Amino acid sequence: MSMLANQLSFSYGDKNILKNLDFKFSASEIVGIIGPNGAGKSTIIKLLSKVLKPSYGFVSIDGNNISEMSRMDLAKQVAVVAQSAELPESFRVEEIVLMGRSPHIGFFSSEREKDYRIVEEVMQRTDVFKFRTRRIATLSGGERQRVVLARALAQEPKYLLLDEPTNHLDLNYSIDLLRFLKQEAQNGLAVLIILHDLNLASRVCDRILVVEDGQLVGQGKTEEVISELLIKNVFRTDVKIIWDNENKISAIVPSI
Amino acid sequence: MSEFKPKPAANSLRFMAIIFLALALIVVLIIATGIGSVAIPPGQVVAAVWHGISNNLVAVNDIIIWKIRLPRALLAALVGSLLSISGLAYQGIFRNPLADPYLLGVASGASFGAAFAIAFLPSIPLVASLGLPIISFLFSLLAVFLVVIFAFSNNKIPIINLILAGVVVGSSFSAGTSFIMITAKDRAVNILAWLLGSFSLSSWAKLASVLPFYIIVLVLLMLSARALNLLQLGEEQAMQLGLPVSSFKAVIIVLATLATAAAVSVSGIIGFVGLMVPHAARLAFGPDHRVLIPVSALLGAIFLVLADLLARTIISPEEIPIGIITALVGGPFFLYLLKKAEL
Repeated sequence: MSMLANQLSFSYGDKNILKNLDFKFSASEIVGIIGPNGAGKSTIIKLLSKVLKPSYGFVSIDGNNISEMSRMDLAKQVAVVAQSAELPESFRVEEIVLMGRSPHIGFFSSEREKDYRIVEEVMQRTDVFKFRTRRIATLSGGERQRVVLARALAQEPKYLLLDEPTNHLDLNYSIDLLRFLKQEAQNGLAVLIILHDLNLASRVCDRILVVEDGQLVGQGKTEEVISELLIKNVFRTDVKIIWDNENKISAIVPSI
Repeated sequence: MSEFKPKPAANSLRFMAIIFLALALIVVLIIATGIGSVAIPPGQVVAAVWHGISNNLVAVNDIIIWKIRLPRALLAALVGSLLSISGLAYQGIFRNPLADPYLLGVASGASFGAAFAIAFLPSIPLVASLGLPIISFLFSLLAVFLVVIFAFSNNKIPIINLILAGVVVGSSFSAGTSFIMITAKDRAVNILAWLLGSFSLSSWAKLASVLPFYIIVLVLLMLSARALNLLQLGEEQAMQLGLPVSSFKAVIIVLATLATAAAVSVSGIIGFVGLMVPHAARLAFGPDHRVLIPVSALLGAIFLVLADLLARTIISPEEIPIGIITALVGGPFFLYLLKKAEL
C-alpha cells in the first residue's frame, strides 16, 4: 500500500518549481522531506493532494493515477495538515473536526452515528475533546493545529501529509505530535512530513527525501542520507552529527 | 458507548427558531395584506385567500386582497427571500461578508434594460405586463456575460478579475442608463422610480416568472449547505476534503446570479437586502449554512414585506420607492456592525 510520485514535475509560468521527482512512501513508515526554503517542498504536498496538477509526471496510489480519481475518493485516503491552515473563527471545534468526515458522508447526505463516534474518538486522541464546543477564535495556535490534525484523522486516511506542522508549536507540543505520529505509523498509517528542524526529522523519520531547488538530491534511510557532507552541500553550513549506540542519529549540532 | 453529538440542545433551538420565523412570516403576510386604504381584518384576509384559491371571488375585499394586495405581498416576500439567499450564496462563495448579488453587473444591466424599455418602447403597454421584466432580465444577463468574458484570463477566472470587470461593466451600463435618462427627459422620472425599486405593479404573472428561479436556487443551496461550510476553510483545504471547488463555485454563482436577475427584473434595484439579511442571520445564528439558508430566506421575506408595507403606507396615497426604505435601514445597520467590530 503506497503512494508514488513518478517523474513529478511542476512549473508555474516559465518558472520550474519541481523537476522529475521519483519517490514513494508506504504504510507504517514516516518519510521526512527536508530542504532549504523555497525548494518546492510545499508544492509536493499540493501535487499529492490534487490541489495542483503536475506539468509532467503523475502521482498514484496503489497503482491508481490520482488524476483519474474524484477529489472525494482521494480525500477518503489522503489527508493533509498544512502549516498555515487557517480556520474560520466562528465555527466550533467539533464542527471543524466533523468536516473531516465529508469525504465519507458525501455532500448530500447527513452525518450518521458512526461519524459522530469517529469524530469523538479522534478528538480524544488529539486531546481537543475538552474544548470541543469552543469557537476557533478562542484557541491558541497550538490548539488550532491539533484541531486540524483531528480533522485530518477524522478522514480515516491511509496517507497523512503534513507540511511543517511543528512551526507554531511549543517544544512539548511538537514532541507530542511526533510521538503521536510514530504511534499512528506503527498502527499502519503512511506519513509524509515536511520538517524544518533537522534534529526532529532525524529522530522521527524512517526515511528522508532531500529536496533542493526543486530536485531530489538525496533519498533513503535517515542514517544513510543525513550526513555532514550533505548538510554542508544543501544547507551550506557546517554541523557535527552525534550517533548513538544503535547507529541512529542522536543530534545534529551546528557549529555556533 | 458515548453520548456525544454536537450540542443537540442547540440544534433543536435552531429548529424552533426556524419554525418561529416561518409562523412569523405567515402572520406578517396576513397583517400586511390587511393594511391599506381599505382596512381589512385578518379573518377576512384569510377568507379572501380561500375564495381566491377556490376561484370564488364574491366580496370587494376578496378582489382587493386576491388581485392586488396578496400578489404584492407575496412578491415582496419572494424577492426579499431570493435576494437574501443569493446574498448568502455570494458571501459564502467569495468568502467576503461584503459580497452582494449585484457584484457581477446584474443591477446595472437590468437598470439599463429597464431604462431602455421605458424610454424607447412606451407605446407597447410594457410596464404592467412582462415585457419590461423580460428586457431588463436579458440586459442583466448580457452584463454578467460581459463581466465573465472580461474576467477570463489563462483559462481561469480569478476573483480580482471578476470584481474589476464588474466595476467596468457596471459603470458603463450606469453611464448608459444616465444617458438615456437625460435624453428621454419626459420618461426620466418613470425610469428613476423603477430604478429605486417598487412592488406597486405586482401581479400573479410576475410572481410566476420569478418562482421557478427561486425554487431552483433554494433547493440547490439547501443541498449545498455543507459544501458551503467546507468552502469557508479556504479553497485549498476544501479541495483536500473532497469538494470540487471550481465547478461548485461556478454552479452556485451562475444560479444565484440568474435568480437575482429574475428578481431585479420585476422589482427594480432593491439594495442592502442581500447584504444585511445574511449578516443579521449570521450574527444571531452562527456560521452553519444549514441554518443560515432557511433563516435568511425567512428573514429576508419578512423584512421586505414589512419594508413594502412601510413604502406604501407612510406617505399614503403616494408611495416611497422601496429601495429608499432598505437603504435607510441599511445605513444604521452597517454603522452598528462597524461599532460592534471595534469592540
